Amino acid sequence: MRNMKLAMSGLFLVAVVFALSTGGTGLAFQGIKTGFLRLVSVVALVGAAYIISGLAQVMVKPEAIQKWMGSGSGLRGALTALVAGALTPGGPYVFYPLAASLARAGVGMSFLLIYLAGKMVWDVWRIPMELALLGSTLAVTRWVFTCFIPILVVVLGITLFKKLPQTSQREKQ
Amino acid sequence: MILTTVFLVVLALVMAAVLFVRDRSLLIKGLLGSWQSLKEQLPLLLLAFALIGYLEVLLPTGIVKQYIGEESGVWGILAAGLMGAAIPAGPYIVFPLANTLALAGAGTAMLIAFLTGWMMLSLSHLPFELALLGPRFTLYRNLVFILMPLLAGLLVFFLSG
Repeated sequence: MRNMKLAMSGLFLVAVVFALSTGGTGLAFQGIKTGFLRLVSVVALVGAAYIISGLAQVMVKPEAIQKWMGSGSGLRGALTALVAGALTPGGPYVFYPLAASLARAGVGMSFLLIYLAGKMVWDVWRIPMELALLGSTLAVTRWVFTCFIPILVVVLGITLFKKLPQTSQREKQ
Repeated sequence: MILTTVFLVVLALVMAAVLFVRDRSLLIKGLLGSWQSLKEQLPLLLLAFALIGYLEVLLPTGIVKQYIGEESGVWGILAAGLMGAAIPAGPYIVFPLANTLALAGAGTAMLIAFLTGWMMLSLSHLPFELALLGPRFTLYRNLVFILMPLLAGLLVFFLSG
């Protein structure tokens, strides 16, 4: 997070210097004003998105997802993994440790692949942020044209990786 | 925009009501979690919007159109997918950026490839994945996922004519 802030601050400074050198203070001010107006236009949406994201973290517990995923096999297990991924709240610092604990519990590689595809493409808790910051037209287009991907991963995961049931992490233990 | 705002506010209220009935301490915990992540990410959010503002006024639409505009075809889709994968940032940066690229003339197929690349191949996920799931799984997953941004982009490209 700290590195990200430093990188963003650096980029911001570059943008300000570039604006000042090409269009003077007028352009530099216009950049800030445009960004500020964009932020103001979505401030209520962003606030609601953060509240939903925080409430989702306590409504859907990682332990429940873990228990749920351990209960299925075959196509049913694949679909369970897909839905579990879509319902897992939080960022990579939440879902990768969860995937690792699933791997340790013996969940196969193909199911982990499907779980991650569900999380990355069908993440329901990201929808508020998508609607708020991407705009409804682009967000809906994104969903329509990528919703098939996790299904494709189910097919690929089951056919390509059925001979590789465990992750390397589990093999190490 | 108003409809989306109403939908999200209603959803937040429904979730809060469910938690209020189920367990008030969970509601407080959830709201504190929201506040905590907003507090942590607020400087980034402000910087992201300031940068988006600058991109909007500085980014030459000609260049965006040339490289990832509707006319850029398969190469544009590929470039946008790689660009999405290379951005090590969260949704609060990537989504407004996609919006700005759209305003600057990026094609819809390219934007979908950009978003899919970010979602499925983000470089910022690599350290977590390597550390927690091992290099073999990381390699297999990325091999399976690598074609998805191109596939999604091509689907939009051909279906939208």
